[in-house]
Amino acid sequence: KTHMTSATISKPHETIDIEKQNMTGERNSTLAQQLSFPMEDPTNWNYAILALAFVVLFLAFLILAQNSRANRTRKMKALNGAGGRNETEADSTQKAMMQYVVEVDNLAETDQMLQSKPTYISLNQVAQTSSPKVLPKEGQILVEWKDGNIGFLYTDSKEDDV
Amino acid sequence: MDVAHPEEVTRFSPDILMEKFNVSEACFLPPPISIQLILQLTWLDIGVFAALTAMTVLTIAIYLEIVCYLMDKVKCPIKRKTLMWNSAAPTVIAITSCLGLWVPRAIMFVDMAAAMYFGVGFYLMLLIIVQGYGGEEAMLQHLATHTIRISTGPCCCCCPCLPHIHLTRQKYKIFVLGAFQVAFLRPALFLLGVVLWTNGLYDPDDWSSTSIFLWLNLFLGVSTILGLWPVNVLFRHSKVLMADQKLTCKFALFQAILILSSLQNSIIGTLAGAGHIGCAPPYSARTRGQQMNNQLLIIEMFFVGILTRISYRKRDDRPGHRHVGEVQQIVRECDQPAIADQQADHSSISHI
Repeated sequence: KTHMTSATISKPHETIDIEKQNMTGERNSTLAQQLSFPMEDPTNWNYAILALAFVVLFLAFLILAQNSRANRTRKMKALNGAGGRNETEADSTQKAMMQYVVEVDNLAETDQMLQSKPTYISLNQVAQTSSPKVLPKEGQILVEWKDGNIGFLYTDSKEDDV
Repeated sequence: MDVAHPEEVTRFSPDILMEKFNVSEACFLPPPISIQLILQLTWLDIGVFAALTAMTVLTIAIYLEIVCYLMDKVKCPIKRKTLMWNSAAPTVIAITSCLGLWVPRAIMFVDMAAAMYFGVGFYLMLLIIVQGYGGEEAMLQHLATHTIRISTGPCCCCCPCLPHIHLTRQKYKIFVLGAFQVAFLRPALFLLGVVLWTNGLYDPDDWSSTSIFLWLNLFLGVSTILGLWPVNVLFRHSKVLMADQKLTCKFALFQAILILSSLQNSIIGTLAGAGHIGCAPPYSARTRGQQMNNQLLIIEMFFVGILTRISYRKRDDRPGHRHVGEVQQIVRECDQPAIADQQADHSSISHI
């Protein structure tokens, strides 16, 4: 550093004697710049820093806003996903419950109807009271005939024949 | 005339320069004390100082917000502490730079404080990676079955033929020591520097070969490079595993702070020393360089603080430390959520 300083100073040293006679302010400043103590106006730097500060402030808040928006969207999506899943589960459970209730209602209704209208006899009772040969099958209709017998409205054989 | 002797330089004493070349007296004086500085500030200077101080306050506010988030969302207290300390690095550097802005005589000390804090950041970065695995035992258990590449930067990137190693406990201890020596050596050597400074032996302006400042800083530079290596090795191996915790972002920010706080400082210091930065009253050329560095650092640390907030804002329920016996248990516990989910599915089906 010492060498460098002396090198920078040696050059103006030559010119100092010449310039002693006619020393202008302008030349003084150029000489001072050649020395290791150049003077500088800090205004430009200050404006640059101010501008940079505001640009960075703007950029940073832009990034922050975008990030928080993205986070919120992700959270909402996750919540909706979980909510949707819960909803479907709840729906299916509710449907099952409703079906069960409807079935129970139907059973109760049927029982009630059977009790109120003794002409209709429940299948169990039929199985128990009538001959054990008569076994109820799905889709078959039991009828109490005028003669008092209980039998199927349609018999399988007849259908088979057809 | 040939190159002048150093003795000839003395002929251009500050008095001659001031008289003949209209150089301000401030260019030869130490930095002004705060009250003198404030009295000499122009409106533009006041605007710059106010804007930069406001940015520092914003950086602190953002940091406090991260702390609140981490307190709430990171369950493991050890992990939470590490994350909180490490995410404070940009805030601390912004605060020290702001102090240096207002008290230019203290710039050397506040720079030392920032460098010391960041030295601890090396060790904290290593801890973040280790705790990301779930502690030392869990990491060693994981790495027992994997090999790691040690030919990474900054000191071994030129040796691609270095073998891939298994991380044993001894090697892990060397890694920890590598990161820890930065955290230890920086405060120790800076203390030595301050002690020598009181005796006039530690001079930041002296860049000759006999300068204690230069040698201490060279030593610290080597220590930094050696400290960065184990962190880098572990990071390269873990970045994919901890992608959900944004480890790459955290490490990138760590390196950005490293470059901005140390490299930028030395570049501007060199420029000021070579006479490329002009003296502008009330600052001498050297002080002005340091002020420029501080002003840039405040702006940069504000931006890094925002990015830190984004990358550290992650919910984390996993433990950061376990004992030997607990590892198996915790691994089982980690698997349990999947089982619990399945059980939940079954139970919902059975309800249906």
